[in-house]
Amino acid sequence: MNETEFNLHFIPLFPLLGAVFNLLLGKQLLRSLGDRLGREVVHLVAIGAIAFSCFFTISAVFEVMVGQDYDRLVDSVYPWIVSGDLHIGFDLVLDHLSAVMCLVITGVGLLIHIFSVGYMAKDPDYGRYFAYLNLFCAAMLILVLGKSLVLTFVGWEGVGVCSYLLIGFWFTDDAKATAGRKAFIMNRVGDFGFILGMLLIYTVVGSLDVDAIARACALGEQSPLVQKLIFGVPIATVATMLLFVGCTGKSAQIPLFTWLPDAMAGPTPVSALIHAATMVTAGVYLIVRLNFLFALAPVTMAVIAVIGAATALFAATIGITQNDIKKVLAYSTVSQLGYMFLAAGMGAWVAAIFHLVTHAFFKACLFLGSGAVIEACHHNQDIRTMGGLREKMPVTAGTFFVSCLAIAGIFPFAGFFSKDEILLHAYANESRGIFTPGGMELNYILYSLGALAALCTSFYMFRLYYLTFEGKFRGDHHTWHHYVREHWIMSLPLVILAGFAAIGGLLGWPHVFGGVIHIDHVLEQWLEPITSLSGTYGGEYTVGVREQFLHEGHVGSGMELTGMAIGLGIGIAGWVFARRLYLDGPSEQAAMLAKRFSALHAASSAKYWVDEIYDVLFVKPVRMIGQLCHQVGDMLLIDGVGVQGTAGAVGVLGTLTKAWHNGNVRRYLASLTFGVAILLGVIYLNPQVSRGDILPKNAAGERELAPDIGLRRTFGAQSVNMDLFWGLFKIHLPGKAEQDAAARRGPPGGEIIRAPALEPAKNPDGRPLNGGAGGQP
Amino acid sequence: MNHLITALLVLPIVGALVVATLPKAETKLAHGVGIAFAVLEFLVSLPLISGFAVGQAGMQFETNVPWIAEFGINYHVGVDGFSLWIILLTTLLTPLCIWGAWNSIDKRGAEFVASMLVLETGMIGALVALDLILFFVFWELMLIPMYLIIGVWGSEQRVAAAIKFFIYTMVGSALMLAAMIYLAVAHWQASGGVWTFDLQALQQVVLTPQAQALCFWAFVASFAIKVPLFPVHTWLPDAHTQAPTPGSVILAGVLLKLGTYGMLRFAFPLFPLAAGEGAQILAILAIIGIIYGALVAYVQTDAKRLVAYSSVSHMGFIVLGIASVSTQGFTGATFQSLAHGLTTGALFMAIGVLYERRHTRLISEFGGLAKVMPWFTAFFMIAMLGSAGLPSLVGFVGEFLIVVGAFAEGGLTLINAPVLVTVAAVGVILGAVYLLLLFQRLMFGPLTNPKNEGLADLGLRERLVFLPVIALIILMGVYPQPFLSRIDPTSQAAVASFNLKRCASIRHALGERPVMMETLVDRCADPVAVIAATYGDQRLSANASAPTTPPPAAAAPPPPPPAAEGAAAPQGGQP
Repeated sequence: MNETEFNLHFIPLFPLLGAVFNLLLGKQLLRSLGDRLGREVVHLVAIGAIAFSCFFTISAVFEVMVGQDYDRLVDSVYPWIVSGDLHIGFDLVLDHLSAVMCLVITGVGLLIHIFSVGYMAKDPDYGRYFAYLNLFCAAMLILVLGKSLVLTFVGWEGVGVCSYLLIGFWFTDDAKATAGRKAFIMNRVGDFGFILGMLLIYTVVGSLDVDAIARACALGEQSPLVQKLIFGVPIATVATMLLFVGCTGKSAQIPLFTWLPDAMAGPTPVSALIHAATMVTAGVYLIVRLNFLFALAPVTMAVIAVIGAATALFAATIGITQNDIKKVLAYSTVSQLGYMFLAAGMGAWVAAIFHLVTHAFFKACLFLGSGAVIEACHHNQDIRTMGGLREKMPVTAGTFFVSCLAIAGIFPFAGFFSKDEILLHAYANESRGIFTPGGMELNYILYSLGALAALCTSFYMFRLYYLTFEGKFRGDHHTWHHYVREHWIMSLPLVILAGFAAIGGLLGWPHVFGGVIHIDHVLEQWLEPITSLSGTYGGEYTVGVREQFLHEGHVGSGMELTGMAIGLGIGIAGWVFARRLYLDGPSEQAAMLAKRFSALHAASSAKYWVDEIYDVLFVKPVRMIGQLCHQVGDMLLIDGVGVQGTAGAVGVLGTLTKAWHNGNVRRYLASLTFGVAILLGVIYLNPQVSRGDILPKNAAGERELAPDIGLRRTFGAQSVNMDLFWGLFKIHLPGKAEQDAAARRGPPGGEIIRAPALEPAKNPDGRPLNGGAGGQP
Repeated sequence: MNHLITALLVLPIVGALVVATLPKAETKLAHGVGIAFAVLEFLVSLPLISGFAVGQAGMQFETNVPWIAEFGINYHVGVDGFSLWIILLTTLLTPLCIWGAWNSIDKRGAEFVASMLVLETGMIGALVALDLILFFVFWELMLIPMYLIIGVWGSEQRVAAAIKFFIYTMVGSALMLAAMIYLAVAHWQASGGVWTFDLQALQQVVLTPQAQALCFWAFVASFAIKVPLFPVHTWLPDAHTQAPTPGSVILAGVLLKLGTYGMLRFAFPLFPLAAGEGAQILAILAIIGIIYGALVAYVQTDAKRLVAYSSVSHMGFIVLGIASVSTQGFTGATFQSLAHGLTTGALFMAIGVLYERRHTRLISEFGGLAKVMPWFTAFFMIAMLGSAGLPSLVGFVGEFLIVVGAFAEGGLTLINAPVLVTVAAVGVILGAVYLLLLFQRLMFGPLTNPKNEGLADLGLRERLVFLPVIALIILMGVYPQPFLSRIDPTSQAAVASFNLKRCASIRHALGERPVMMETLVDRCADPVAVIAATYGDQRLSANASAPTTPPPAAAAPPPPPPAAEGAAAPQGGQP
């Protein structure tokens, strides 16, 4: 591999510095420089920081990687955690995959920073907002640039915290703060899997460096990751499953998706950046980054594909009935992420990344568009009270429409190509005999789920568009006349993003069109060094080879073209249907349909009661167990019975014995006499003690000086060494036996264990054992 | 001979005496003098870092002079990787605590400052002592000022809490003292009549298995109460809740660490056979503590009690790391001690700030504070996230090392270590649950309680008190290597010598008398193999299963045992 050193740490460093600057000084600036100038400084610093990252990335990718033909750039900043064999460096790597991610993060991030200047123009916490936004970018860049999984995890949790902070940005609203907390905790549940997955990989590979893992995986089926089992399952399977748990949390897949719709509480540009374009795609990135590892775990791959497809459809059906403009987009995001996981689960790494990129464009555009709408409507988000806004905000409406076409998969917009590639893979990639419910191959089921989800997608997106921008305005008079005008600073990012949404498909021009217009599948070629890592294995570990199938014509061009036609048909069907029902506001037909399928409609609009179910299953029980531990465990058992009980028992004993200590000397004397009598009686009436033959005889028939054995006989199995104590009873020991024993002992070392043990009978000076109680002759 | 440590031990006592002789009315003067001495102590402790030889495992800055020669009791002190940073944490937190209490201690100020200084000597002494009796003296010395701090300057039920704290601790101490004397007698026997209480000399005695078990659990009883380990943790919430802020900070920041430090320094190295067998029980108790502490913390209504229970949860991780007897586990446990000291210390300081302003600790009294106290909120948030183990803050490094150590390398002492770690990791989720809930209920939401509207944000003094702690929380998370590189060699050596002595103890399993290590060492060429053959090897780590690869540094055969100091009178010399 062709690599060179490069100062990559500047890429995350600048947003980080921007964040620190605005966190420390943002508030001061607004106060001391005046509102207008202060805001200028704040956003110029923030935008400058991310712009620097963006241009630095572009130059690194296009001048160094492409221009000088390097496969990757590396940067070892410093050793981070070193202990024993564990070495985790703060090492960054920019390879073909992280290059794509960095370009998306910094590019879309820059546009969203610019948009935020307009959107947050009146917010008093301007500095804090931009600081968090910059901090997020820094964390996200560390996530994708990290060479070690642990470093990726740093970014992974870092973006989680920024997400938490930005969702709860308007923290005086308790619901928003709660939404942030929910997001963080659900992500933590996922991170739990991530950590355990890392640990498992570490145990086998001995390192968490991605290169080391790749080397360990290069052996294919012979890799220790497959050969070693834990609980009877190959470690690769368990580890990838655990990592995937992390992905479900971060990328809002079933079962950890419910935080994402709530996350819409944050400012809308944040939703565009974090909860659409970048952070939520981290799970997909992780799987593609570790494609060689996942390729060794076919069971996990099947699970990923199933979860992805199921999430795609499940979330899409919820999206149909939502009335909050941002909620629709949120469920749409969950659904689109499901597509990416479907692709990843099929081993179609390129398709997953392709959809990630195009989705970043059109979903960011949609979210920013919705932000513009919300701003214009004085922070109203209910689409039932909108309509006809195209007249007031043509740029927003136009870009929104383009993005709708893209996400619905209408030719030739970006989503058409990326979604189609995924569905084609789903159809063509025969399941590897892992999961065939009812004898049906998994891939047909997955394809059907994906296609159905595509229909829903097209429908709810155009429903959203028509309800928002077409027809007559259904809100109040005041809003209509005093709407907030479009401002270039918000329109410019929209236009750029819509442009990318329109032409982004060129990145992944299908081979089947290759003959017509000569454009290569740019992305596939670009990602070749990454995806080829998993493409070299034989047998059933062949998911990566799927890419080659397409080249070599295993999938006939006829099938591919048919797939495209079906996809396009589905997109148009959804569009037409939505247009019929919602062109002029919610029509009666729509209401009738809702009534006819009222059960489905209710379930969908209640989001299938998932939140409520989780509340009953997890939230309440944890609270109950906590109370139980506190009330019963600590207060009743440990403190009540244990501590107070002991104290009470001591008290009772004290009261009982107090009676004897009444100061009556005669009584003291009587008890003393009585006690001594008992003691003497025990000693002299016990034949063993009085005759001194509690000591065992040795082979020669003489008594050894190992008195603890005698004690052991008395006290059962206890063999505490009691020499010192036993000295008290040495009175009875015959002097001669001792001398004989010493003579027999001989030089030390022959009997390692016993020899020194016999020593303590005497001190070097010949003094008796503990000074005096004994009667050494 | 190096007098640095002696200076560190004497200086606070001198300070306490000076403060005590000041005129009674001059409370602020006493406070100021106390701060001056504490700061001076911190400055004097800094050469410990600069003079510390990185990469060296053994004791440094050693001083060893006879104290009670008849019984071989020495004034033997020294610093190594396990104690270095905790000592610095002590010298850092003490001045901050005294300064932080500038306004909140309203009666007997001089006595308070003197108590804090004596406490500092006690803590540092316990950390540097290399003689069991010396250790015990300092161990008990810590108890008295802490008892006074809780009992005199605490909240409403301070006396009950102080007594509970005192008696709980005394029970453990009594057992530990008995075991110490037993061990010295065993050495006297094994060595042929040499009295010593020196740790390094006693290290050379191999007890019989049963004796090891009794001594180990006697030591652990004392340390477990200090940690505190479930189920002997109930003194902690009371003591923390009732103690004044500086008391809570020192209690959480340093005192609890002495429990885990004691395990690392005494209980595990001295009785490795029993430790190897008891580790499983310790680990299970630790994990129960992690989960149990988190669950109970979740339902607390008193902010201080919540943080106290979070300590129970976090300290469980440290014990888990120690029980794994691995390099990463030991290093992680030591680092996590610092992390917990800083984050929980900061959280207690923060709750102290609230208590000082509102005289209540009830969470429900607050809400929406972020609006009126932005600095406070920012500091609280960093401490809270650090405590929750966010990567790039201090809490993650230690936790990660501990789980790596336990998961991959803990198989020699732990059964089913991956399962244990999995359960422990649930605690990480729960940690986020209760800490974020606390944060939200204090800081977020509308400012509903009118009493909170006029709350002042942190003043300059308070900000300066918080600043070093917060800065360290960030610095030690981003760049922990200077800290780890000084801890790690000691951990590696400790693991190696633990395994060696454990192997020797196995060789001596059928023995009935204590013997010196040297008689067994030649049968312990490959300790890990002997241990694995006896107890099974459940390690998952790559180097454990692939003996063909050259073993890395940590798995290298342990260094030859150091000559038993002073005590090694040859056997033949006996009459």
